[in-house]
Amino acid sequence: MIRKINYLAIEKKEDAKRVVDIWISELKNMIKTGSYNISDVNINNLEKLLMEWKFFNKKVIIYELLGDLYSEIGDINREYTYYLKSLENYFITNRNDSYVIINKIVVNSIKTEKYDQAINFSNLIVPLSKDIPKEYKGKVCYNRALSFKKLEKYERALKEINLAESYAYEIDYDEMKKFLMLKANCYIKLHRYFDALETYRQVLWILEYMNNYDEKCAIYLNIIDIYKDKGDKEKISEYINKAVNLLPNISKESYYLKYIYLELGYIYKYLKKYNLTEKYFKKAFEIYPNDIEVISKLLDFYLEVNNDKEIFTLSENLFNSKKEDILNENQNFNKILSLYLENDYIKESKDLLNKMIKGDRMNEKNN
Amino acid sequence: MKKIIRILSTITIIALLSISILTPLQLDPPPLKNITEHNIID
Repeated sequence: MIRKINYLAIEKKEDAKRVVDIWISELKNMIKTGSYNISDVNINNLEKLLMEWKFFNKKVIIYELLGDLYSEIGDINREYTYYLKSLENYFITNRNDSYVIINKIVVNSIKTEKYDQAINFSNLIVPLSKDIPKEYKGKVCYNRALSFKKLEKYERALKEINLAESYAYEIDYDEMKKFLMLKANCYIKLHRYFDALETYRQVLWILEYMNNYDEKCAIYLNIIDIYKDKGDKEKISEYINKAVNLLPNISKESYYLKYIYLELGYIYKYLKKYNLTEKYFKKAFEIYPNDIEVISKLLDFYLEVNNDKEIFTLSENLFNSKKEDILNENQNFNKILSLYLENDYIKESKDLLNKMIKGDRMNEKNN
Repeated sequence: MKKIIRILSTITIIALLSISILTPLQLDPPPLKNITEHNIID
């Protein structure tokens, strides 16, 4: 329906409002059904319409919906752009519920690892406290706690989680699990292992009645950190077996899966079982072949164990599948080139350099 | 010359790996957001 709109024919405010309402309905439907068929041309036409008729209140909701849409698509940059545009328009209106959009920007900041930015945005919510529903305050405090934890400010993170828990007056087990898991993770970082284990036990008790195998697996892997510190190999084996037994039940769409495979790789490396390290890093690569972190970790592993053959294969794979930009990340290109030179692979070094130069020239042409 | 290149390469690899040496992760839960929360006003 959006494609059939003739924007040039819109002369009255009522018609413009009707078109914007159609958009709102269509965007909500796209998000609900997962069909993200939208073009830049259409969005540009819509934005012109919104500006022409000064629909500031409608702009707030349209931009938020566009942010949600791009969030579902996985376009983090556009998600941020539209959420920010929504927030800018909040300040022009008299609305006092900007905490919803601010929280979405906080989440986007966390996803892009901009934790200081996340904290700064969440500070904007504090003056709005009296307008925020109690259960929402829990979310906000939890996201602040997560940001502080990522910034290695564990005591501060714990304060925010305690606040989050105090706001959860109706038990939402899904949220409570997350609060407790984050709390336990902070305890581990502070070497408060008894508190960590007690808190994990509470989460595992909640999970007893749920089929959240990925969360259980994640907890078992986190618990292993405690026993690594104590050098207790028996307990490490016990928990690693518990984690591995859950793997067949974990969906490929799980948020935790990539981290589960990578963590299993690390643990097996700690146990000097390098074939299993490779197995799990490769599993991560199979499911996330474009993920920079996964590729970088696989590459680092092969470099550490001096496996030139696999490095050649990985490097060729990146060029053949046009993912050579990943070589620019994490010093990956330097690592591969250094290995080639160390082993006198002069032809391979020249080929690698030529491919990178060719890739750079193509990028300049396209820009 | 080749020996120098080889030594430099080894040093580079060690230096780069020491920055990004395989370090364990801690699996944190994801941030909390609800995309269905909107308020429409006229």
